[in-house]
Amino acid sequence: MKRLPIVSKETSETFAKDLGHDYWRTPEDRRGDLTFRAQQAREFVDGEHEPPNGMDRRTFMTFMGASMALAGLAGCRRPEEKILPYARMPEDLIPGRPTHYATSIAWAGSSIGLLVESHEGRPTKIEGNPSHPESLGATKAFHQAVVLDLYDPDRSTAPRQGGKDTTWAEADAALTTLATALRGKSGAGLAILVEDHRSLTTKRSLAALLRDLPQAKVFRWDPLGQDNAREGARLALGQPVEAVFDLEKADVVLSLDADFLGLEAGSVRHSKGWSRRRRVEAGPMSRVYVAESSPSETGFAADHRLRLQSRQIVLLGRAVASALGVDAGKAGAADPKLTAFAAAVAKDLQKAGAKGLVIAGRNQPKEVHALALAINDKLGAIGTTVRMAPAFDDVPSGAEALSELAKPAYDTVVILGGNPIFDAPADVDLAKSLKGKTTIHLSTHVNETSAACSWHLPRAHALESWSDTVAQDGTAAVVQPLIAPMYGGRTDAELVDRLLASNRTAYELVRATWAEITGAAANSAAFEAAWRRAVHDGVQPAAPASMGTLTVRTSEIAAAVESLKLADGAVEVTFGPDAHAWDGRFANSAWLQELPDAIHKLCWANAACVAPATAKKLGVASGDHVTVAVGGASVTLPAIITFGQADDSVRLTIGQGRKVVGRVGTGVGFDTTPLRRTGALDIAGGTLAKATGSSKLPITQGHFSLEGRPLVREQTAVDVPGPPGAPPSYKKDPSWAKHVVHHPPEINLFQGPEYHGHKWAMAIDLSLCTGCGTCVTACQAENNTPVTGPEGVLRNREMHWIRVDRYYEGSEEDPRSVTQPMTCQHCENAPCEQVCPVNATTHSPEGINEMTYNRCIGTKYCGNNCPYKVRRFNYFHYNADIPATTRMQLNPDVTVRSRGVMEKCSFCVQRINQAKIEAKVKDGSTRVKDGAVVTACQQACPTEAITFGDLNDGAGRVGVEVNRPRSYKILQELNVRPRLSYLARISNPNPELVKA
Amino acid sequence: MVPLGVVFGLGPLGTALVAGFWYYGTQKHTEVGYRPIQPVPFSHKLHAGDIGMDCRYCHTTVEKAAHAAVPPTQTCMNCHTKIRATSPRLAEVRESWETDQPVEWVKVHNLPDYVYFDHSAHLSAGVGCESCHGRIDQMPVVQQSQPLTMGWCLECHREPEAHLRDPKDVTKMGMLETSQASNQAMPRPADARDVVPPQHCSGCHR
Repeated sequence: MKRLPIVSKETSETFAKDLGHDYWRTPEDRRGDLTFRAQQAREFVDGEHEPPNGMDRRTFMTFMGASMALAGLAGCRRPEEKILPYARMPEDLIPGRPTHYATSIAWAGSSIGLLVESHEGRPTKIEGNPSHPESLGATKAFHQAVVLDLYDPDRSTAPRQGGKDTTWAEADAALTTLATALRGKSGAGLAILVEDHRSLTTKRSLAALLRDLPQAKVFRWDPLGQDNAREGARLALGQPVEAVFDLEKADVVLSLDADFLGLEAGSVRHSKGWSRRRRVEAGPMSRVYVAESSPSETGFAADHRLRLQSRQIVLLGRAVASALGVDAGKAGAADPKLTAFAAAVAKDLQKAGAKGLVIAGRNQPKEVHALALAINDKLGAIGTTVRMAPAFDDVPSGAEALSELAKPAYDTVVILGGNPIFDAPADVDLAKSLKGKTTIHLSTHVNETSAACSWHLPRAHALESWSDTVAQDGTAAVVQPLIAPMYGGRTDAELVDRLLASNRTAYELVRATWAEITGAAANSAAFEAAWRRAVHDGVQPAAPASMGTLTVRTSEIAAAVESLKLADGAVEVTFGPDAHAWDGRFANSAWLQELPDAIHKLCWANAACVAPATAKKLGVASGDHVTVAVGGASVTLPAIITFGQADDSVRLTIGQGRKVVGRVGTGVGFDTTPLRRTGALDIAGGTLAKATGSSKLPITQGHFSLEGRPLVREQTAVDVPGPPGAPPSYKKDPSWAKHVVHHPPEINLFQGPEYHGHKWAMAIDLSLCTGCGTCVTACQAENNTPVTGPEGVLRNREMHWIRVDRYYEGSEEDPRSVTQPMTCQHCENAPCEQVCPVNATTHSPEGINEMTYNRCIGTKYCGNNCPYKVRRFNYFHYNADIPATTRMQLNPDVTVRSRGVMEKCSFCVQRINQAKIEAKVKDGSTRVKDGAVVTACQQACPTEAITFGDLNDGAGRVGVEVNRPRSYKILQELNVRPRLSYLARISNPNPELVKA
Repeated sequence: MVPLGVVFGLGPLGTALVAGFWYYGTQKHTEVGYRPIQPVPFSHKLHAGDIGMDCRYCHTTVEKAAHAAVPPTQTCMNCHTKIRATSPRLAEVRESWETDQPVEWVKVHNLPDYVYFDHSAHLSAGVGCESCHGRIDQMPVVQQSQPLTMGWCLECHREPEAHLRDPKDVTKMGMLETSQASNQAMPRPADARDVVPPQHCSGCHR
């Protein structure tokens, strides 16, 4: 085996010359800092083995030795185990075989259909429902984590009155009294606050309540709600309709601050559609332009990214609109860079016509949403890339609705889910205004709002409920319980029903709704058939709704846009969802907290994203505290230098820094909600100053670096003028990626094995990877990978079997960026196998580099010898410490590893074995059909970037991918013969903008 | 005079070595013959042997899943609501039926948690029950008849022929002994599926 020297400045320059790109991961890396490189060359960093409480290794071993000796004595006799069969077995249940049930959850202004894997009534894993339009079989990391949330040991277990536990009997008695009182005054004084619940049954129950109690009022508050889009549509069309985007049909897309592939509504559907237009072999590629203030997955995956403050996005929108002949008011002089970008985009959109698409971001004001609709209308895109669907509901919403609650007229406030006390804008002092009122909060967790309310009632988790959801495009889906409510929770609709002194179950309520949807008489045979089908399939396609003629009111839009006031202040402050906690609801989710975010690879924290120039001006480095002030309120939190962030723009995420949260989320991050104010919820003007103090941020960006070796390869689809040394275009040399790294022929001293049976392989298309991290969480859920905590991450101990490396290119101010998922390459000539003294890692006849935990003695030689740095050592018995409820999530098909073993990607060997056994039992065949094995990462990936299968299967999909001209293997020069191929990233830039 | 340290040091060490070799060398740890007392004195000899019930009447999932599944109380009650409906030996079963609580059977064939054995794969290959479980039809109380060690598994995974039969006959008892005595392979149809037992780690360990 060749020994690799540490990459020096000279060698990395050679690599850069070969690749035509000079990638870097951290600024130290970019400077070619050799001390840093030498540090990175170590597989195990100093202190990595230290136990969490600071006990040194020797003491630790002494204790361990003693407990081992005791364990040895106890181990002589096998413990007696019991088998507990059912007394009455449920029909169709086969112990040991998982069942999948279709369900759905409300998500970010829409819904997503899910298939949940259940082992003997115990949900363990979430997949997307292929029949549901918002999922199409895939998910995001958040959806994967819903199952962990179900088993959260910190969930609310009993009703509470005035902060003290009570019983449902007491609560029901109080609700009955309340219902009687309300009926007496026609509901006067009752306000109900809902989330963006998307449930037809809840909506129907609320309508029934308003019919019976006409004086009651319903309001909505969602800290990351879709009010801007809704109001934008109202401004443009006179009614709040939903605009549903079809990325698959779009040739040219302009995003105005919209992270449509990442953290916005419909992102899974968008990712699927987008990915179908980004495989260079599959026909003409789409072209994506993104203008944004803070880098997002979408921005870095785009062909062109314009770094622009969020408050100035409207200027770009107006420039593009004007160039396309849409009245956008009189515009002043704008920045020349913006003008050039706008001109090129407008020309491209014009050319695309009905296949053009403009998407406005969630945090852009309604005027920008309206303008985007007007441009889409002008392009003729409405009907092709934009479909209009009726709005789900129209209730008073947003910060204004929250202020309504403060009115003394409302003496009873019922809050269905959410956490408004935590996330309400600072100027709406909800805690104060709710004091003295009768407040009832229904919630799965005891949170800040529960603590402040007179009553807290446990809410049934989405996986425990009968309910339903409606997607943006109108598709309805049933929510069915996977498990009986663990703590006796109720659904929103059930609670609303109690307020009418009725006590129907959620099941009855949902069935009544669905009798309406299906149009069959309740309890008729026709209804039963339709209902069973809907529950089984998990979707009920929307009946084509007649929207009438929609006329875009251009003059109103022009006037509104012209009079839109840009947020002033030395810096702009923008707010968005947290990559870990979303709006705070996942703050107690260990998987999501430990998932490195897509851009910075930050875990277990939130930070203020600032541009390198801004940081330099303030004299702060990543981790140093800064004070962000907006309108008199200020928050001090660590800064994180964000490459590609607009200057004088600070990005904050909401949802971290929760106070009443649970054992995982306590003490994680900083609460930024005090900075949000009515009218400036998403973009505000403010100031930024250096503060004292500094935090160590758990960032994995520099971890497991492959030290600047030529791993990422990218080309453009067609020739564009570029800098000297740029790689040839895909059109000119499609197989450039394969031969760009020169190496001597791969000759083995020994005859390698031949693979006659299956020959498993994986291909990852870098054109499609957006770096979202869904694969990481999906793998964690499937393979029982432990969580190590913030301290663990700081010590390089994170256990993820797949990671997503982010590479930058160009300046720190405005770089391009590429992501590369990295996992075990299952080398045919694997360096790890050759150094294991106990044969714990061996090669299977199907080419899987397998890890046998019960043999591993933890020498870590394999990890040291792995050139890809994908082996993870289990320093501690993480899985022993997880709470009993969380243990129910563990996948019974995968060994739960103890401490002291090496672990890594197994190509989901449990799924391979299951498919093989099924082929044997069902078809009597020793060969598995193509597509029968889907790895967890592949299944969850929203862009279908990962392909897996058998290379010996002539027609197999993975063979097609691996044999594409642009497929290449990394570090092939070491003759390790990886089984994982990457497909070079092909972008589709606009030649005009490259020239400029 | 032998130093005390040697007496107290080497003595126990020697004893441990001898005991260790004796215990592991003779495969005492594999617990062949392990025969725990079950909560209900269920006799396989009576049901599978004398009455001649098929194994799959109770172990319904054996051809479909990894687990052979100990039957639910319901299966017992199919017959025992009529036959010996008041027998005191069945009190536990009736109680389970009435209270909906499981009968707590003691596991006899207990593989380590990192072993993923699959009954359905073995049955479809034509490995009979008796190859691993012995003559269940002659056991009033079930006991472990084979060591169930990895070496023992691999013996058959390397040379499975001696244990393969017509997959239709998997539950027939006594075929293996006859075949071993006569040194003749068990009958197996020509169109039976290929049997290529895995010998690599991930075949059984995941």
